[in-house]
Amino acid sequence: MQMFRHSSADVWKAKKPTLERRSTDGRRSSVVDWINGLSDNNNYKTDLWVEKHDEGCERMTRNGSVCAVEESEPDQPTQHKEVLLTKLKIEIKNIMAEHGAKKYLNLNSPYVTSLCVAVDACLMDGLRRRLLTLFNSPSSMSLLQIIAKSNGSAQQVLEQTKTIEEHHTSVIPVHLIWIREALYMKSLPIIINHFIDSKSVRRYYDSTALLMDPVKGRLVATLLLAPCMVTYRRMSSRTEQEATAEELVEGASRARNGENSGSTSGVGGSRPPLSITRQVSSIAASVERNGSVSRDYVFSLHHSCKSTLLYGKNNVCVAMNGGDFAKGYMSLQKFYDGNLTLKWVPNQLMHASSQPSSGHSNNGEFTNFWKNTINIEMQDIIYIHLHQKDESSPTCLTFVNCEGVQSAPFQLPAGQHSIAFLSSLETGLAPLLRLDPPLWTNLTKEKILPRLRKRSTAVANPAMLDYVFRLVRTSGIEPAPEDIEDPLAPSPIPPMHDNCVSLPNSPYIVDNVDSIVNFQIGKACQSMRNQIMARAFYGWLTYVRHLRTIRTHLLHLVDTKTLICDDDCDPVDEKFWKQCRAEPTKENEEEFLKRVYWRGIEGVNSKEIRRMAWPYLLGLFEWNEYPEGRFEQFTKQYWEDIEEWRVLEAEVRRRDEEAFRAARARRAGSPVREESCEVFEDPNEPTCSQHYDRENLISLFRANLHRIDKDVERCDRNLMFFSNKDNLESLRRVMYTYVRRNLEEGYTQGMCDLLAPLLVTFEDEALTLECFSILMIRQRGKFPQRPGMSKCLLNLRSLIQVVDPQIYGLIADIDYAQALSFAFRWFLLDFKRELSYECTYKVWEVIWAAQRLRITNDFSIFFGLATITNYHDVLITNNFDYTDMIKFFNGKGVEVSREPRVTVVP
Amino acid sequence: MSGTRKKALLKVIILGDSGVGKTSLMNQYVNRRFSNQYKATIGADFLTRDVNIDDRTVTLQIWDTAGQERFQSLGVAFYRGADCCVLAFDVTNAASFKSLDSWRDEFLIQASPRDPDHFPFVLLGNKVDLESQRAVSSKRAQSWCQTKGNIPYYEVSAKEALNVEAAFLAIARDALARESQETNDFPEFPDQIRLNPNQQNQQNSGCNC
Repeated sequence: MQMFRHSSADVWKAKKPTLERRSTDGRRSSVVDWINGLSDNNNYKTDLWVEKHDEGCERMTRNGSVCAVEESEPDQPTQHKEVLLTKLKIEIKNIMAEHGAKKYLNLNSPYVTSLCVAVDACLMDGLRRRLLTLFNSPSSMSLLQIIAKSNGSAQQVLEQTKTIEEHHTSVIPVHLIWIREALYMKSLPIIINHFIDSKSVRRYYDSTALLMDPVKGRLVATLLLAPCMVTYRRMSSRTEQEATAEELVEGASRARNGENSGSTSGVGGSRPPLSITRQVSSIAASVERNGSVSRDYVFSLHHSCKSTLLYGKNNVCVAMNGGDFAKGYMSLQKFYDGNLTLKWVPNQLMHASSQPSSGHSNNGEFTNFWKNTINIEMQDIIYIHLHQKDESSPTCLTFVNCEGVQSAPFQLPAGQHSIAFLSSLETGLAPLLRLDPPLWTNLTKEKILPRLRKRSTAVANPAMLDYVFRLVRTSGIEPAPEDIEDPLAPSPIPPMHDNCVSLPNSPYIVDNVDSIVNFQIGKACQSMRNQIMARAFYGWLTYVRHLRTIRTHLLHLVDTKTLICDDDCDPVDEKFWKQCRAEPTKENEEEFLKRVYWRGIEGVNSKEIRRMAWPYLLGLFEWNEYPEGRFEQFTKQYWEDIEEWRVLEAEVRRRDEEAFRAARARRAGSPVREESCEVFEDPNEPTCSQHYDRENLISLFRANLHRIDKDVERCDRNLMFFSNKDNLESLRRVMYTYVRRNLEEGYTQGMCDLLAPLLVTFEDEALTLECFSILMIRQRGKFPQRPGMSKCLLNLRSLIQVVDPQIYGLIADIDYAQALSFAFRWFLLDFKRELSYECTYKVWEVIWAAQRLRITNDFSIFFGLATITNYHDVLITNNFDYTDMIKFFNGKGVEVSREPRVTVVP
Repeated sequence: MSGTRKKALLKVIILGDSGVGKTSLMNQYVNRRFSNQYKATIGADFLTRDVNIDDRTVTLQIWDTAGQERFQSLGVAFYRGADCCVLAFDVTNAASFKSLDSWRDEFLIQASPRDPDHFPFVLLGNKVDLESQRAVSSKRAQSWCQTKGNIPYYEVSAKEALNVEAAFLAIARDALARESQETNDFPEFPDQIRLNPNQQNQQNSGCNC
């Protein structure tokens, strides 16, 4: 045994040069055979096939090295062509970049229009306009009309263009429509290639035209392949611009419904399904169902700089789903990394790509063909079955991978094709893998199929030709024990059988196959194990991070005390309110707040209850207080204050009048006078501090008055209540008084919005002012130049991170103030702008009650969170960026029906 | 990335005192309608409109911010990357005209464009339909514009849709002219990153985000 091993190694050493030579032979013979295979065609004209094929290769190389071809100094037209091409490239680049960002492109988007312009410029280059003026307009459209008679896709494009022109639905210039439509129908490259090929079109071009350039003309068409792969959608620019929030919401809900009824994959399934990462090489797996496979240029299936063609054969039959056979081109390629791949592409696709003008470009049909392409990684294959009825019938090749999945049988024509394929395969497999049993070499150094030694005389049917080859690992991970025993062997190479006598010992081989299967299964298990581990780890990591976020940012947001909701708890109504006032006990107060929080205030006359209950809810009055006396006090104080600021107001008005007259006078008279002429701008020399204070006071009050006037004028003018001038005056008076009392703080935009609902509810200026002052203590912190708003937005951001990581993904990279700027108004005004007055009342009550109940100090953040997550689907499906969100949430009055109140308890 | 987006998207910021009609101007231009129902702008909002200029379609993204200077800290986040700044004042309100200087300075400081002297500004004097109440003459506005490097000035009325279209078209042109200057620097691939700091080109936008 030992001896034999040694000798076999020696034999191998001696044979090595022969082996190498043979392998090159093998390759050469396979190429020869490939060409032979081309010549023994059945249905298609070989010369056409070869010619087209070569053209494809040539074009490819030219694509790659356009610049290198340019050797001489470029002349004027050449430079112009370069400019045109560069423009085209840039536009295509833009489109592709935009496409990378979005799932689909609007056909009316500026990107598409710009591309159309660039394409048009390329087509118009060197066009003899004078000749074309025989037609209506000297545009590229005329060219389309010329070839439409002979070309199906051009005909379709032309018809579509005419329809659009008739309906005047297009936003782009008429001569660009057809380009856009061709892009939409994905036939633009075909049409342009047809321009180049068609004699009737060629005569309209100068010889120096870009399209007539042997290299660059085709390049234009080839470049346009990429933008034709993009999915376009027809949306009018208006609809896109005004793709209002409502439409988006509707679209999202539609999508969700479709999802529920149709497929089983859930929307929320952000994780990829757990799978074996290694591609399973069955047909099913090789087919990419999302259609992205069609983006590959068909030639890249068979030629690329990364692979070497070992074997190619046309008209190889493969059984299709329906039981019938399809013919196609089969090739065996070796990639630079040593992997062997067997590819098969239906003839229809090969021809479609090599004959751009072929008219039958039905998209659906093509998609089907693309689904049928086959891609088999040889490293996954362990068995190859070869069946042949008799010498003259076709050979069937079936590949079985390590999971036992069979490929569809390939049918090679009778003759030496199968042996040629196998020998190329064997060459390609070396040195890592080999065929078992190996192919035999006969006396004339040609490969032949191994033959069984006839052990049983019973079965002696020479016509029966069934073989099973195994792909056996010859080196690497699991060497056979015998090899270890032999340290002298240069590498674990199996014994070569140079005599046509017998099969190699099978036990050794069986072990080896089992070890391959085990190895593959082991690899799969390992990969799954790793994925499970990784997932568990990331789950844990996210959990820990969330916990940290909650601890650091959100801990103080809510009280951990849980509040049990009584299901039969009623809203606050007249009866309950009367009971509260009759017995203002602590229990009743608790009950009151709970009812407001869970059910709100709803009675026969809710407004009346609100008017009575709000001062208690806001904390203006103590729960057990009977405030009758205080009302008078409020009113008295209020009117006194008014008297006081009336004087200031009169002074302000006088100065305004003065300033206006001065401005008019200057306008009419001398425009040269400087601004300093406006006396009130810089106060006179302060004669005494009292005078100075008064000047300060007046100018400060004046600035505030102007701001208030502007905002009062435009405060909720659509509301019945404020269409009454008197009520507007009330609003103004309350606002003036508030600002007079808090002149240092001054007026900030938004205050009017907070004040208005209170005034509408109370219809009592003095009480409104008192309640507003309380409310402002709450809200002031969120007004500009104070830290409250930042805190709100940061808390909201943290909440989103914990509750809805998918949405967080959309905003994670942007500064929080910018990303959540749509929420600025929400929190500043506690959603007053987003909601109707009725809803605002309800939300405000809950916010106030939540604070009083010590559930959370800022319920509005949770309300904001609910609003955002409510539109989860819209945000995610449209992949909103922060500007989209601003537009969406600003455009949308947030719809609220009694939202289920979620108390998030960390 | 921003290079490709910016090519077709022009960002315009409208600034000016509260109540001069920023929201109305923007809505008149984009939606071609005037409403007396607008409330004081809180936060920031924007509208977009496609406009054709010399065979090119560009999208104007017009940002409207709150007018009270206290809200400026919120607005500055949106100043960055602007292609043009529209200053608006109310011709019946002299104070709103006087604030223009501070609005302009504030913008230049916050947006910090690379070439502040040539950053495109446009001045709009709104509410010219109220001629009887006019407090700022067109001459005065124009001479202010001259001192600021010949800013184009338009007298408009959002209410009467007077001159609004023309003004915004000029705004788009200005912004686009600046854009194309930039693209000329990078004729083939607009996204490439210049590593040579000596290349002091005409790229005067502060946007490098």
